[in-house]
Amino acid sequence: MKKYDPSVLLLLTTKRERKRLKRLAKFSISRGRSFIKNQQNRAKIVVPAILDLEENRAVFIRLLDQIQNILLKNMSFVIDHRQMKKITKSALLLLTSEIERCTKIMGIKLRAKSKFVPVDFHVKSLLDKIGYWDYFNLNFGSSKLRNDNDNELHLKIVGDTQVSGEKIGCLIEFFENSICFDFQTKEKFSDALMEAAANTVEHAYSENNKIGHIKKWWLTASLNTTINEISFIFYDQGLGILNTLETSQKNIKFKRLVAGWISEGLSKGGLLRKLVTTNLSSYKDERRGNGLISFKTFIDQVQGGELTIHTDDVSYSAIEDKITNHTTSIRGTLIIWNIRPNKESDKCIYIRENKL
Amino acid sequence: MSKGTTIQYKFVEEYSKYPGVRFIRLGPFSGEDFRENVLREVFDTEKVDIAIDATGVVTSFSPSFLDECFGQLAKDYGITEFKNKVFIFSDDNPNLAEKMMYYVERAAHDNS
Repeated sequence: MKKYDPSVLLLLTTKRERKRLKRLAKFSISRGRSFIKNQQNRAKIVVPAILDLEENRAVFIRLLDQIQNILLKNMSFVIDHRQMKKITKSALLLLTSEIERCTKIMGIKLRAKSKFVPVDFHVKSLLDKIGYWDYFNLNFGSSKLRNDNDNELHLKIVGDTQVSGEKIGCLIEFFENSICFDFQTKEKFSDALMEAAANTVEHAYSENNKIGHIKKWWLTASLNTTINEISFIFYDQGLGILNTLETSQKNIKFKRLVAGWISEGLSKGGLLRKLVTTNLSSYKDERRGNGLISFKTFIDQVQGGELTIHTDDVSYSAIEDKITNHTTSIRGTLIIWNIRPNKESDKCIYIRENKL
Repeated sequence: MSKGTTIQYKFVEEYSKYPGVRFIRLGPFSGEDFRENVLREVFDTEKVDIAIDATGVVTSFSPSFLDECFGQLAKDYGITEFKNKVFIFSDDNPNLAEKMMYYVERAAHDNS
């Protein structure tokens, strides 16, 4: 008789399904077999070895598709993380948000089973430190991984449906405790994040979404003490910056400007570049935020800054001024800031000059 | 400042360490909330002004907070009245008053 470890997988199931499983379990155990093996309707999602938006975006998007399809079919599912060899922080944030969306909409409570956690030490460590399990209140007991000697500190994933200064504040405090952060940089940094979250809550989501949404934003951050680099990643599952231009901006001058760009034949990537690099304050409602240009300004003002914006099926890297068109959409907007001082001996991150 | 009573308001102790964004519907401790529930009364009461000590704020006063809170009051009451009524400072952010005035003047300018 084959013996199955009862503490097995990350199991996702509806309440009704769980009741059914319980009945089956009793039946199976009585026959000395695992009930898990008997389930025909439960989908098994195997997380691929490499999850990286840059390196293998199509594979990653396929994984998100799989999760979404299951949501639409109202199926229960199991996520097998064992094959994972590499995952980036951005990919992890997107994966977390997709699992949360599915489970929230379906009313599923997650259960932790240790059999299906990653085998790879580094992946295990990253998931642990970035708070992947904690985010879903999954407890695997105290982890030995915390002794991992790498030089990267992580802020555990934060998500919210509102703009909470407190949640943004925990990010500021996280960096302040670890790195010299002058007040001007801190202020710009905080402003950029608060406005990004506000734009998401106010404009990103539409009611016409076939998958359904939970109107949240997600955030994570890290600090690499070896190279003195901080990075923060912000994601929402909204319609994307380019698809919300119509609803987010009522100003006729702004609409004409965008229409002009489109009639000039600008691609989606070109449009995104224009939005990130153009000061639109004279085209938009005067008393509304300056949006994407404020992210660019922030990055321009700090030493060694990089900004990458992915929205829908395009991405734009502000420092390299590089547009990339993709064949797949990330179904939302992902903003990544990396800040690294130029001087290796300098442990502080400074704003170059003080400008409003 | 007007000649009258000055309310010494410690923002962190009496309101929040984490000011939010523009509207109440977008999240807690918004500019709209602070304007309506704290500052409006000051403007509606004669010979009262307020000195806001923002020392210890963890995040920042975001542009949308400043605009919705102070900018809107400058629009409603005029910039001269605003300057007589509101004074803001922070021991850990010497540029705060200047930043606030940028949004106040911009809002007042829109109104003219």
